[in-house]
Amino acid sequence: MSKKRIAHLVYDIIMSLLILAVAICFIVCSILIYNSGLHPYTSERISQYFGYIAPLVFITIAFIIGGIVLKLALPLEKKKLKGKIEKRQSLNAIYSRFDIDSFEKEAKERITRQKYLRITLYTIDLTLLFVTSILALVYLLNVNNYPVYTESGTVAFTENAIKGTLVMLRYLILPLLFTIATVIACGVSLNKELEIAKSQVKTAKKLNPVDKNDNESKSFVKKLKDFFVKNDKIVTLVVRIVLITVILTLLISGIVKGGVDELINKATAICKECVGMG
Amino acid sequence: MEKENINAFVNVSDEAKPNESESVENSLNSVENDTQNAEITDTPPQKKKKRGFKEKIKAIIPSKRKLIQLYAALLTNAHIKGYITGSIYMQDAKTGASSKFLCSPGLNCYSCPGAVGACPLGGLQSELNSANRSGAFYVLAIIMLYGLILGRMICGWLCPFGLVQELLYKIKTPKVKKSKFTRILSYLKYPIFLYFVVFIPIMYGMASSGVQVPGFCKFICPAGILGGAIGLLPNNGGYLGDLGPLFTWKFCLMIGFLLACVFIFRFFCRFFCPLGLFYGFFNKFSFLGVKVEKDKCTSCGLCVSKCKMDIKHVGDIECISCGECVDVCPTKAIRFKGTKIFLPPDEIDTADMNESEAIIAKQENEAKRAKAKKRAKIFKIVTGSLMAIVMVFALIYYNFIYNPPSGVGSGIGDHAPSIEMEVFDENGLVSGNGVSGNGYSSDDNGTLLFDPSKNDGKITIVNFWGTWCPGCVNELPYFDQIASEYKDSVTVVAIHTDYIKETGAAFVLEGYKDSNIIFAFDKPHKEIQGVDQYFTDLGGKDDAYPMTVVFDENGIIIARFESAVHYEDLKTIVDNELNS
Repeated sequence: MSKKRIAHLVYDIIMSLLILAVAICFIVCSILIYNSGLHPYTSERISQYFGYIAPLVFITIAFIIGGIVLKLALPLEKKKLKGKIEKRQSLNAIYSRFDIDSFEKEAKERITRQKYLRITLYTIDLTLLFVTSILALVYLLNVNNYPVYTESGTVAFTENAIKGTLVMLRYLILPLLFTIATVIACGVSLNKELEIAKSQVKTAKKLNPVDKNDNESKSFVKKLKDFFVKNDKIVTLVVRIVLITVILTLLISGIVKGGVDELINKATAICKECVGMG
Repeated sequence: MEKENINAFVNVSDEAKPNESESVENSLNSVENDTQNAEITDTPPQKKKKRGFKEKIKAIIPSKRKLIQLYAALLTNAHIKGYITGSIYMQDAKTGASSKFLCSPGLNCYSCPGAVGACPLGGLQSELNSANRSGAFYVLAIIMLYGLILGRMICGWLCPFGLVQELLYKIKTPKVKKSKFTRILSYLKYPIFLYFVVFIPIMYGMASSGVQVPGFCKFICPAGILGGAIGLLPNNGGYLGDLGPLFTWKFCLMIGFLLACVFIFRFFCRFFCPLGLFYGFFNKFSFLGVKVEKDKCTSCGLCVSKCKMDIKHVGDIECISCGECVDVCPTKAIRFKGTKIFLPPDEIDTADMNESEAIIAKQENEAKRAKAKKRAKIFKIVTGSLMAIVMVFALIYYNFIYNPPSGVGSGIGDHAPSIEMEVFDENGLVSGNGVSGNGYSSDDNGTLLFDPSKNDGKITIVNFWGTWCPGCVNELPYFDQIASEYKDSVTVVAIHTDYIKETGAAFVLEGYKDSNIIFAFDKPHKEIQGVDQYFTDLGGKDDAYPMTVVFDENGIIIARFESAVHYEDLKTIVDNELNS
C-alpha cells in the first residue's frame, strides 16, 4: 500500500471515530440532562453539559477542513476500469461455448440434490428430538420427580422435580444444537447452490429467449405488462390526464372548503410537537 | 432464437465443463464489484495527467445540482431575520398576506424561523386530522401537483434536508455501499408512511376532542429539531421549560440520522422519508426527471451500479433524478425529460451518400447543432436571471418589508388589561364558581368582561390554550387542581383560542363541566389578522400555545410562562404570593 493510501486510511479511521464520539456525546448529554428532574432543560445545564463536548466538536470541524486539504494535496487516483463492455462481451463468448440443455439440466440437478440433503438432515434432527423428548418425559413421569400440589392448590416443586427438569433440558440441548447447526449449514450451502443454479438458468434463458410473440404461454399479468410496455406513451398520457383532473378537483374543493385558511392557520403557528416541545 | 439455431450457432464441445460456469460467474461478479468502486473515464491509462491548481479548485466548486440545492434551501428559508429574532414567519400585520398558503416542495418544517412556506408533510397530516370535519384536501392536491411536475426530482434538487444529508456524506470517512440489505431496508418507508403519516392523524382526528397529532412530525421528523428547535431556542428561553422526553427522543434520533448520513448516502431519504416515497409514485409519469431511451440502451447495467440510491432501473420509485447516471452511460441513452430541444442532434452517417449529399447533410446537421446550443444558452441565461430576481426579491421582502404581528408589551410588573371573553350560548356555557360576582360584567352584546384588578383580592391565573395543542390539554388538570384547592384565593381562567372554537366547547363540556376553572374564548384581534386579541395583548407571539400569565390581587403581572407548566410551578407561585 502506498504512503498516500495509508495517509487516507488513517484519516478515514480517525474521522469516523471522531464523528462517532461526537454523536455519542450529544446523545449521552441529552439523556443526562433529561434525567436531571422537573423542567430539566435549563440554559445553565445545557451550556454546562454541551460545553464539555465543545472542544471535541471543534477538533472534528478542524479535521473536516483538514480532509479537504488532504484531498487537494494528496488526491487518490480513481481506479480506471477500461473496456468493461468488452469484458462482458468476452464473457458472453465463453457462455456460448456451453450446451444450453446441460446448463439447465445441471442447475435442476443441483436444486434436487439440495432438496434431498435437507430432507435427510431434517429427518435425522426430528428423530433425535423425538427420542430425546420421550426419554426426558419418561424420567419426569417418575413419581418422585412430580411437582407437589399443596392443600391450598399451589404447586410446590420438589428438589427432584427441579433436578428432573434440568436433566430433561440437558437431554434436549445436544439435539437442539445439532438441529440449529444443521439448519444453518443447510441454509448456507443451499443458498450458495441456489445462486449458482439460478445464474445458470438465467444465462440459459438469455441465450435461449422465450419467443416474445408467443402470447398463449404468458399469464394475464405478463400480458398486461407487455401491453403497458408496448403502449408506454399512450398509457403515460392517459395517467397524466387522470392525475391532472384529480388534482384540479381536489384543489378547487380544498379551496372552497377553506383548506387554504386551515393551512395558513396551522403553518403560522409554532408546531411545538414538531420541534419537540410538548 | 430457437434452441436448434443456438446449437447450430454455438460450438458444442465435449471439452465444455459445466463446472467452469462457477468461475465464469465469479469473473462476472468481480467485474460487477469493480464497477461499483471505479469510475469510467475517457483518459487512456498510459497518460497520467498531473492536476494543476485550476483543476484542483474546479474539483471543489459545487456542481450545478449542488448550486440549485443551495438556492432552493435559501429560498425556502428566506426569512433569515427569524433566526435573529427567534420568531417564525407569519402573516403580514398590515396586509394579512402570507406565503405559507403554499407548501415548499421539500422537507422543511414550518416551525423553522426561516421557513416561508408550509411543510408538505405537516400540512398533509393536519388535513388528515381534520378530514372528518372539513374534508379539504388542498395540501394533498398541491403535493400531487409537485409530484406530477417533478416527481422525485424534488428530493435530488430541491429538498433542503437532502442537501444536508449529501453535505454530511462528503465528510471523508469509509462509506457503506448499497446492497441487497439496503434495498430491503428501503421498504421501511411504506409502513412509516401508512402508520405515522396516515393512520395516526386520522385516528386522533376522529376522536371527539379533535386533538391534532401529526404522527410523523411528532415522533420521527429530524427537520423539526434541526431547523425548528435549534433555530428557536437560543432566542426564546421560555421554551426551555417545554423540553422533556419528546425533545430528548427527537434530539437523539436526529443525531442518529445525521451520524448515519456521514457513512450511508442519504440515509434518511432512502429508508425513512415518506415524502420521498409519495413523490416516487409519480416518477414514471412526471413531466421532469431522468429517462432512458430504450432504442439506445444496451442493458449494460452501468447506470444502476453507479447510482448510490437503491434503484432497480433508472427512473423507478427510488430514483431521485440526480443525473449522475447521465454521464456514465456509454451509449448516451439517459437524458433528462423535456430537454430534447436543447440536445444537439447525433452525428449522421454519410456512408451511403454521395459526396455532395454528404456535404449538404453535414452542413444541415451542423446548423441544427448550433441552433440547439444557442437555445440551451438562452434558456440558461433566462432561467438564471429569473432565479436571481426571485431570490433578491424574497430576501428583501421577508427580511425588510414584512411586518410581523406584535403584541402590546406585557411583562412582569405591567398592569393587566381587561379580558374580553366570549360568552358561550346556553348549551355551552361553562362557568366556574367565580363567574358571577366581582370583576365580571357583560355588555349588551353578551361579551363578558373580566378585570383581574377587581377580583375581590384574589390571585388570577390566565391560561391560553387550544384543543389542537396536546401540551395545552395535558396541563389542564393542573389548573383544575389549583382552581379547586385554592378556590377562595385564586381564580383560574382558561381562554381557548378563537380557532376551532366548536371543538373547544365540546372538549370542555365533555371533561370539565364541573370544574372550578372559568372557560372562555379569545376574540380575533381588531387590527392584526390571524391572531387573537388578548393573547397578543399579553405578549403572546407566533401563536405559541400554551401561555400562562399570573396576576396578583391588584392586577399586576407577577409571572408568565411561555410553555407548559406543572402543578408544582403554579403552587409555588400561588403560595409565595399568598404568604407575602
